[in-house]
Amino acid sequence: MSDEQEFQQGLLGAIPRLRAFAIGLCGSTGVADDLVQETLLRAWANRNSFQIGTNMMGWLYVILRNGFYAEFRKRKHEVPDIDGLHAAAMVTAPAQEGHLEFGEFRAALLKLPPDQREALLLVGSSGLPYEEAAKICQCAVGTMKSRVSRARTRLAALLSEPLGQDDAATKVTGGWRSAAVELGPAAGE
Amino acid sequence: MQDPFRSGEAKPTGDTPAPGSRTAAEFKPSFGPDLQAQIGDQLRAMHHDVLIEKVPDRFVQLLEQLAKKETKGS
Repeated sequence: MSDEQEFQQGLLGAIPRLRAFAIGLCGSTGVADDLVQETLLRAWANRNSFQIGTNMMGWLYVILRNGFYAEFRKRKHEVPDIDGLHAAAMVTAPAQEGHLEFGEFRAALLKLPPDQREALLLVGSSGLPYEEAAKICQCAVGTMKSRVSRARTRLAALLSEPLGQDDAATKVTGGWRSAAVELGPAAGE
Repeated sequence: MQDPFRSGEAKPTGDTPAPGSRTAAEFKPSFGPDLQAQIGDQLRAMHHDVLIEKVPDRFVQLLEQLAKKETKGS
Protein backbone atom coordinates (compact mmCIF):
# COMPACT_ATOMS: atom_id res chain seq x y z
CA MET A 1 0.00 0.00 0.00
CA SER A 2 1.35 3.39 -0.92
CA ASP A 3 1.58 6.15 1.66
CA GLU A 4 -1.27 7.83 -0.13
CA GLN A 5 -3.52 4.80 0.14
CA GLU A 6 -2.55 4.33 3.73
CA PHE A 7 -3.46 7.93 4.45
CA GLN A 8 -6.77 7.54 2.65
CA GLN A 9 -7.58 4.42 4.66
CA GLY A 10 -6.66 6.23 7.84
CA LEU A 11 -9.08 9.02 7.02
CA LEU A 12 -11.84 6.58 6.18
CA GLY A 13 -11.36 4.78 9.48
CA ALA A 14 -11.40 8.05 11.41
CA ILE A 15 -14.73 9.25 10.02
CA PRO A 16 -17.03 7.63 12.63
CA ARG A 17 -15.11 9.16 15.54
CA LEU A 18 -14.87 12.53 13.79
CA ARG A 19 -18.61 12.49 13.22
CA ALA A 20 -19.32 11.59 16.83
CA PHE A 21 -17.22 14.53 18.01
CA ALA A 22 -18.70 16.92 15.43
CA ILE A 23 -22.30 15.94 16.17
CA GLY A 24 -21.69 16.48 19.86
CA LEU A 25 -20.16 19.87 19.20
CA CYS A 26 -22.69 21.12 16.65
CA GLY A 27 -25.88 19.44 17.79
CA SER A 28 -27.06 18.78 14.26
CA THR A 29 -25.85 16.09 11.90
CA GLY A 30 -26.17 18.34 8.86
CA VAL A 31 -23.83 20.95 10.28
CA ALA A 32 -21.58 18.28 11.77
CA ASP A 33 -21.16 16.43 8.48
CA ASP A 34 -20.21 19.65 6.71
CA LEU A 35 -17.60 20.14 9.39
CA VAL A 36 -16.33 16.59 8.92
CA GLN A 37 -16.13 17.11 5.17
CA GLU A 38 -14.13 20.29 5.65
CA THR A 39 -11.87 18.41 8.05
CA LEU A 40 -11.22 15.64 5.51
CA LEU A 41 -10.45 18.16 2.77
CA ARG A 42 -8.04 20.05 4.99
CA ALA A 43 -6.39 16.88 6.15
CA TRP A 44 -5.93 15.76 2.56
CA ALA A 45 -4.50 19.10 1.50
CA ASN A 46 -2.06 18.97 4.41
CA ARG A 47 -1.22 15.29 4.25
CA ASN A 48 2.43 16.04 3.62
CA SER A 49 2.67 17.64 7.04
CA PHE A 50 1.34 14.49 8.71
CA GLN A 51 3.97 12.00 9.80
CA ILE A 52 2.87 8.44 9.23
CA GLY A 53 3.01 6.43 12.39
CA THR A 54 2.04 9.36 14.61
CA ASN A 55 -1.36 9.89 16.18
CA MET A 56 -3.60 10.55 13.20
CA MET A 57 -6.79 10.74 15.25
CA GLY A 58 -5.36 13.48 17.46
CA TRP A 59 -4.19 15.37 14.40
CA LEU A 60 -7.66 15.13 12.85
CA TYR A 61 -9.43 16.19 16.05
CA VAL A 62 -7.29 19.34 16.04
CA ILE A 63 -8.23 20.14 12.44
CA LEU A 64 -11.92 19.54 13.14
CA ARG A 65 -11.81 21.64 16.26
CA ASN A 66 -10.12 24.54 14.45
CA GLY A 67 -12.83 24.39 11.80
CA PHE A 68 -15.53 24.38 14.46
CA TYR A 69 -14.17 27.43 16.25
CA ALA A 70 -13.67 29.36 13.02
CA GLU A 71 -17.32 28.74 12.21
CA PHE A 72 -18.44 29.29 15.79
CA ARG A 73 -16.88 32.75 15.86
CA LYS A 74 -18.72 33.61 12.67
CA ARG A 75 -22.08 32.40 13.95
CA LYS A 76 -21.78 33.41 17.56
CA HIS A 77 -25.13 35.13 17.56
CA GLU A 78 -27.02 32.11 16.26
CA VAL A 79 -28.80 29.66 18.49
CA PRO A 80 -27.98 25.96 18.17
CA ASP A 81 -29.76 24.22 15.34
CA ILE A 82 -32.99 22.91 16.74
CA ASP A 83 -33.06 20.06 14.20
CA GLY A 84 -30.33 18.45 16.17
CA LEU A 85 -32.41 18.59 19.29
CA HIS A 86 -35.42 17.05 17.62
CA ALA A 87 -33.26 14.37 16.20
CA ALA A 88 -31.86 13.48 19.55
CA ALA A 89 -35.26 12.34 20.65
CA MET A 90 -35.32 9.86 17.78
CA VAL A 91 -32.12 8.13 18.65
CA THR A 92 -33.14 6.26 21.72
CA ALA A 93 -36.09 4.08 22.37
CA PRO A 94 -38.64 5.52 24.81
CA ALA A 95 -36.89 6.49 28.00
CA GLN A 96 -36.11 3.54 30.18
CA GLU A 97 -37.07 3.68 33.79
CA GLY A 98 -34.52 5.66 35.71
CA HIS A 99 -32.62 6.91 32.70
CA LEU A 100 -32.18 10.44 31.55
CA GLU A 101 -34.05 11.19 28.41
CA PHE A 102 -31.65 11.47 25.52
CA GLY A 103 -33.20 14.52 23.88
CA GLU A 104 -33.13 16.42 27.11
CA PHE A 105 -29.55 15.37 27.65
CA ARG A 106 -28.44 16.58 24.23
CA ALA A 107 -30.21 19.89 24.70
CA ALA A 108 -28.43 20.40 28.01
CA LEU A 109 -25.08 19.52 26.45
CA LEU A 110 -25.56 22.24 23.83
CA LYS A 111 -26.07 24.79 26.56
CA LEU A 112 -22.55 24.27 27.88
CA PRO A 113 -19.82 26.67 26.79
CA PRO A 114 -17.94 25.06 23.89
CA ASP A 115 -14.71 24.58 25.84
CA GLN A 116 -16.57 22.55 28.44
CA ARG A 117 -18.58 20.70 25.83
CA GLU A 118 -15.54 19.61 23.86
CA ALA A 119 -13.80 18.53 27.06
CA LEU A 120 -16.73 16.34 27.97
CA LEU A 121 -16.99 14.92 24.46
CA LEU A 122 -13.32 14.04 24.21
CA VAL A 123 -12.93 12.62 27.69
CA GLY A 124 -16.42 11.45 28.63
CA SER A 125 -17.71 10.33 25.21
CA SER A 126 -14.65 9.31 23.23
CA GLY A 127 -12.83 8.06 26.29
CA LEU A 128 -9.55 9.86 25.61
CA PRO A 129 -7.10 10.25 28.48
CA TYR A 130 -6.98 13.76 29.96
CA GLU A 131 -3.44 14.17 28.62
CA GLU A 132 -4.47 13.53 25.05
CA ALA A 133 -7.58 15.70 25.27
CA ALA A 134 -5.44 18.51 26.71
CA LYS A 135 -3.02 18.21 23.80
CA ILE A 136 -5.85 18.42 21.28
CA CYS A 137 -7.32 21.48 22.97
CA GLN A 138 -3.90 22.98 23.55
CA CYS A 139 -4.41 23.48 27.25
CA ALA A 140 -2.83 22.17 30.44
CA VAL A 141 -3.92 18.79 31.78
CA GLY A 142 -5.19 20.50 34.94
CA THR A 143 -7.28 22.87 32.84
CA MET A 144 -8.78 19.91 30.98
CA LYS A 145 -9.64 18.19 34.25
CA SER A 146 -11.34 21.26 35.62
CA ARG A 147 -13.28 21.79 32.39
CA VAL A 148 -14.61 18.24 32.52
CA SER A 149 -15.52 18.63 36.15
CA ARG A 150 -17.27 21.97 35.65
CA ALA A 151 -19.07 20.59 32.61
CA ARG A 152 -20.40 17.64 34.61
CA THR A 153 -21.59 19.86 37.44
CA ARG A 154 -23.26 22.25 35.02
CA LEU A 155 -24.93 19.40 33.14
CA ALA A 156 -26.23 17.91 36.36
CA ALA A 157 -27.67 21.31 37.30
CA LEU A 158 -29.30 21.75 33.90
CA LEU A 159 -30.78 18.27 34.02
CA SER A 160 -32.15 18.83 37.49
CA GLU A 161 -34.06 21.94 36.50
CA PRO A 162 -37.76 21.64 35.81
CA LEU A 163 -38.46 21.58 32.07
CA GLY A 164 -38.46 25.05 30.60
CA GLN A 165 -40.20 26.14 27.45
CA ASP A 166 -37.28 25.61 25.14
CA ASP A 167 -36.65 22.20 26.62
CA ALA A 168 -40.18 21.21 25.75
CA ALA A 169 -39.19 21.59 22.09
CA THR A 170 -36.86 18.65 22.48
CA LYS A 171 -39.83 16.43 23.16
CA VAL A 172 -40.85 16.72 19.51
CA THR A 173 -39.88 13.63 17.66
CA GLY A 174 -38.83 13.24 14.05
CA GLY A 175 -35.73 14.46 12.31
CA TRP A 176 -32.62 13.76 10.51
CA ARG A 177 -31.35 10.72 12.26
CA SER A 178 -34.29 8.41 11.77
CA ALA A 179 -32.94 7.24 8.43
CA ALA A 180 -29.42 6.95 9.74
CA VAL A 181 -30.57 4.91 12.69
CA GLU A 182 -32.26 2.45 10.39
CA LEU A 183 -28.99 2.03 8.57
CA GLY A 184 -27.17 1.58 11.83
CA PRO A 185 -26.89 -2.22 12.04
CA ALA A 186 -25.29 -2.33 8.60
CA ALA A 187 -22.25 -0.49 9.89
CA GLY A 188 -18.99 -2.32 10.01
CA GLU A 189 -19.68 -4.44 6.98
CA MET B 1 -35.18 5.16 46.64
CA GLN B 2 -36.90 6.91 43.77
CA ASP B 3 -34.99 10.02 42.74
CA PRO B 4 -37.58 12.77 42.45
CA PHE B 5 -35.45 14.79 40.06
CA ARG B 6 -35.06 12.16 37.44
CA SER B 7 -35.69 13.40 33.96
CA GLY B 8 -39.12 12.92 32.53
CA GLU B 9 -40.58 12.83 35.99
CA ALA B 10 -39.95 16.43 36.86
CA LYS B 11 -43.50 17.45 35.94
CA PRO B 12 -45.52 18.83 38.82
CA THR B 13 -47.83 15.85 39.13
CA GLY B 14 -48.65 13.62 42.06
CA ASP B 15 -45.86 13.36 44.57
CA THR B 16 -43.54 15.90 42.94
CA PRO B 17 -43.69 19.42 44.31
CA ALA B 18 -44.58 22.29 42.00
CA PRO B 19 -41.51 23.78 40.24
CA GLY B 20 -41.81 27.07 42.11
CA SER B 21 -41.49 25.38 45.46
CA ARG B 22 -37.97 24.07 44.81
CA THR B 23 -34.86 25.85 45.85
CA ALA B 24 -31.36 25.39 44.53
CA ALA B 25 -30.38 23.67 47.75
CA GLU B 26 -33.02 21.01 47.23
CA PHE B 27 -31.42 20.07 43.93
CA LYS B 28 -28.04 19.47 45.44
CA PRO B 29 -28.59 15.85 46.49
CA SER B 30 -29.39 14.86 42.90
CA PHE B 31 -25.91 15.96 41.80
CA GLY B 32 -24.70 12.82 43.46
CA PRO B 33 -23.17 9.67 42.02
CA ASP B 34 -26.43 8.46 40.47
CA LEU B 35 -26.96 11.42 38.16
CA GLN B 36 -23.25 11.57 37.37
CA ALA B 37 -23.28 7.90 36.42
CA GLN B 38 -26.22 8.54 34.11
CA ILE B 39 -24.40 11.46 32.51
CA GLY B 40 -21.43 9.18 31.88
CA ASP B 41 -23.70 6.56 30.33
CA GLN B 42 -25.37 9.10 28.07
CA LEU B 43 -22.06 10.50 26.88
CA ARG B 44 -20.78 7.07 25.94
CA ALA B 45 -24.11 6.08 24.35
CA MET B 46 -24.06 9.21 22.20
CA HIS B 47 -20.62 8.32 20.93
CA HIS B 48 -21.53 4.69 20.37
CA ASP B 49 -24.71 5.54 18.43
CA VAL B 50 -22.69 7.44 15.87
CA LEU B 51 -19.93 4.83 15.69
CA ILE B 52 -22.33 2.07 14.68
CA GLU B 53 -23.79 4.14 11.85
CA LYS B 54 -22.64 3.38 8.34
CA VAL B 55 -20.14 5.94 7.04
CA PRO B 56 -22.22 8.23 4.79
CA ASP B 57 -21.60 7.65 1.07
CA ARG B 58 -20.65 11.27 0.55
CA PHE B 59 -17.46 10.72 2.55
CA VAL B 60 -16.50 7.50 0.85
CA GLN B 61 -17.00 9.18 -2.52
CA LEU B 62 -15.09 12.25 -1.45
CA LEU B 63 -12.04 10.23 -0.46
CA GLU B 64 -12.19 8.23 -3.67
CA GLN B 65 -12.33 11.42 -5.70
CA LEU B 66 -9.40 12.92 -3.85
CA ALA B 67 -7.29 9.81 -4.42
CA LYS B 68 -8.28 9.63 -8.09
CA LYS B 69 -7.38 13.24 -8.67
CA GLU B 70 -4.02 12.55 -7.18
CA THR B 71 -3.26 9.58 -9.43
CA LYS B 72 -4.29 11.55 -12.50
CA GLY B 73 -2.24 14.53 -11.46
CA SER B 74 0.97 12.63 -10.88
